[in-house]
Amino acid sequence: MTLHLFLIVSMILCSLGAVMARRTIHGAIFLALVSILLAAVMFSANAPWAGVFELSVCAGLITVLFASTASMVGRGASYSKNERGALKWLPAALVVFGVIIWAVGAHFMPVFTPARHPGALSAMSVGDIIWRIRPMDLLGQLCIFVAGVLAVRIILGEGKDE
Amino acid sequence: MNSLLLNYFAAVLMFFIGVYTMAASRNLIRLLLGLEVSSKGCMLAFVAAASATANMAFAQALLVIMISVEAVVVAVGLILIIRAWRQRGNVDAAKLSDLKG
Repeated sequence: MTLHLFLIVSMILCSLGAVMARRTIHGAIFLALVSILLAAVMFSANAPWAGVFELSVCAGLITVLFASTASMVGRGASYSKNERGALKWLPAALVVFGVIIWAVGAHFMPVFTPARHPGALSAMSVGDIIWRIRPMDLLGQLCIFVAGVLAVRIILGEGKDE
Repeated sequence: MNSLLLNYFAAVLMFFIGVYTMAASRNLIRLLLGLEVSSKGCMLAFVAAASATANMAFAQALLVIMISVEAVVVAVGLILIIRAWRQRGNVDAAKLSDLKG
């Protein structure tokens, strides 16, 4: 429980760091830390496949994409004055929101606490569920990949024409 | 305090951090960072619910799909940001007003 509490608190602090860091490259590094901590929570919750994907894709690929964009854009990615003014209230707003949610959420917690009813799917492996139960999800995922690749090609291609 | 309550609480807070950033920031990269943080909050809530209902295998299958879709969204978003920066020299959302009616 202590380790779990440490992971959760670190994750919230790193999330704050990701959006409030003065330079966006630091924000990208904080986001990678959030991904690593979330992967640790997934591993501790007995979800190793999701943890591995989170580590490799979110902490790896997405961080590289953010870091390369931030270094390419350079000073253009720094804060504007208005933005800094709005974001400096985020910790205070978070505390107020947290207190409200804690008070309200504790009252409604029994509603959000589901009964443990594993069902037939809990006996299957992740691979079986993906390939046998939800193959259409894979098709949709493939379509999104193709759409993403086409979008990147078209957007970058427009830049070359000009 | 049980871990389910803690996970839900953290997920809501992370979602709030992301939404607040998307509302308050005009920097496009920071908007995308906010989107990512709120997405992490959703994933945490998903893991917590799956752990509570003992349906982790099914949740993992959905989480894997969610993560890969998220990667595509970030890639396309960052390419759009780079394109906007090449055209205008900044990444301020308020200055992107070409489609304004």
